[in-house]
Amino acid sequence: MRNIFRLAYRAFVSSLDKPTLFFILIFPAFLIFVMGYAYSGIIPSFMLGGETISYPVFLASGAVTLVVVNSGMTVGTIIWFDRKYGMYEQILVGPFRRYEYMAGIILATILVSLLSAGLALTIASPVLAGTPVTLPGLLYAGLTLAVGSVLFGSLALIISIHLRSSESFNVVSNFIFFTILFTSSVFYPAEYAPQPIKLVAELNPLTYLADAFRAGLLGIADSNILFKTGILMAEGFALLAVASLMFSDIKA
Amino acid sequence: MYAIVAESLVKTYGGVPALDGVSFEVDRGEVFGFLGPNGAGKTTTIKILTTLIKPTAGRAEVLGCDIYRMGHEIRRRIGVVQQQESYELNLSVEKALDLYGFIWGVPRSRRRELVDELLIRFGLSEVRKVKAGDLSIGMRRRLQVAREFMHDMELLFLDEPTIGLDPIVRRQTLDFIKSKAREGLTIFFTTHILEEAEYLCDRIAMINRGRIVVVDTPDNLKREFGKIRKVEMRAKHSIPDDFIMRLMADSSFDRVSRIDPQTVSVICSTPGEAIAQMLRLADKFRLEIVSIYAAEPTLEDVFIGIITSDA
Ligand SMILES: Nc1ncnc2c1ncn2[C@@H]1O[C@H](COP(=O)(O)OP(=O)(O)O)[C@@H](O)[C@H]1O
Ligand SMILES: [Mg+2]
Repeated sequence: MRNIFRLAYRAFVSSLDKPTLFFILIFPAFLIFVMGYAYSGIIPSFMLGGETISYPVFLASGAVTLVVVNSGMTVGTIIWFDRKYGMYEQILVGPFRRYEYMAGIILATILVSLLSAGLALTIASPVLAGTPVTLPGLLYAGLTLAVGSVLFGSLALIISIHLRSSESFNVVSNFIFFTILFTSSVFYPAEYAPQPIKLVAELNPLTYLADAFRAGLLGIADSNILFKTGILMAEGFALLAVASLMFSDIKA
Repeated sequence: MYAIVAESLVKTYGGVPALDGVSFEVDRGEVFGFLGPNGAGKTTTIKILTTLIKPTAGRAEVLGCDIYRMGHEIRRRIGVVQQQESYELNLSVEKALDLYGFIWGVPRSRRRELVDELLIRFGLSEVRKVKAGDLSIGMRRRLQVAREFMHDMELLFLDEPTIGLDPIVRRQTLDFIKSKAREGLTIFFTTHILEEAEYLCDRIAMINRGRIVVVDTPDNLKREFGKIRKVEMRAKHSIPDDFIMRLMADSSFDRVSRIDPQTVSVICSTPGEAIAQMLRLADKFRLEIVSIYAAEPTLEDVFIGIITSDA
């Protein structure tokens, strides 16, 4: 266990420098303060799970989940850099077991996600002020973020392992990032979207993460919320399993 | 008790042997050198002994632990400087050293001491705040070697640690390693540079094409193989096959090879005789000689000499 914490700390320190943290937070900050208000003139408050919600609040709460995707991508892809720059093999000849390396990355993903989500939430607090936040709701929201971070950390691992020697690594991971972002319920509630988009959104784990997080944070009584959380967990578990399999298949 | 015992190690890649039955022992406290040209199997041997890859056949024990069953125990007690570069792009030199000590579980106060000492010993003080990704290749190599001394170990593997270093730094690095050896550290060291192996090692194993050719002390090796020379002759026109055959027939020459139509080379320990013989034959075949000379053999020449005289 100590080894996992040590390797997690290493992954944390070597993947998260100040510019990276800035990059993780700046995009959601724009969504929260610019996009939300810019659109509020043409998007009236709407009904969500039986509550009236304004677009800035809707978007701000979604933007917080976005940092989880961003953090997962940042920390999960460390394996790509470790293999490219030799640290992976160096760690494997150190006093560690292979699974500890991967567990360390997953743990670091959770830590970075919760840390940056906390910061994003602080940034969003002026917008969210006035919404009744409860402690159980907040805990629930935090839990969904942790599950989401495992999911997106695993996704990043999968991409990194698959594209081991590819120079298109950056292009592919950016493409996947934006696809996940724009087909999720971060910007719009999936149930209001036209059929084809709705279909994609309903496959997208970020939709479930955003919905479950919003429900917890804003106290929205979404009757499907347990179901959605279940899907999020199932998808997270599936991706973690795939990532683990691919990881154990890596030949040194 | 031995630090390393290797018995008939074999490693094949797609049927092609990289190691072809390698056996040797390394004593505790010994500096053992693996000397061989590129592709000889040095890195493959280190990867097997450090449990990064499994051999196709054979067995080995490192610090009394079986490489198949006790990899984790072995890795806790060794240090490894791999041939390939390893660094973290975004970390400064001092942070990289510190973090490496951290993952090895070295206490904070001890890490601080070690970082300060190693920065000085490896001439890295001026770049302590520079990110590893921004260092020159030589500086990064120094960082990589220095980093391995952030933790305690009983046995250190060094895979061509001086590649990329200029001569002065190379010497400083070898001196540092030598000082550690004097303190009792067992070292397994690979190089393709004869002088390095001579300077550092108590015993040298010469390896070529996945086989150990000879294991001995540097002094004995020099006595035995130091006489080997390469004699090369270049003629104005192409050299007839018969000329070459005559040279080959002389059993005192270890190897005769045609470099190109006008050039022939002979590896032997009697360069005077080889030159005399070539001159005689040239006269007989009415060949006009452009040049003829004896040279220090390259390491590869020595290997060829040893292998052919073995056969
Ligand atoms: N992963 C690999 N796949 C295929 N061939 C390999 C691999 N690693 C090493 N080899 C081959 O094995 C031989 C020995 O390589 P290596 O141990 O790296 O030699 P050295 O370190 O002495 O230069 C070489 O012919 C090399 O091409
Ligand atoms: Mg090598």
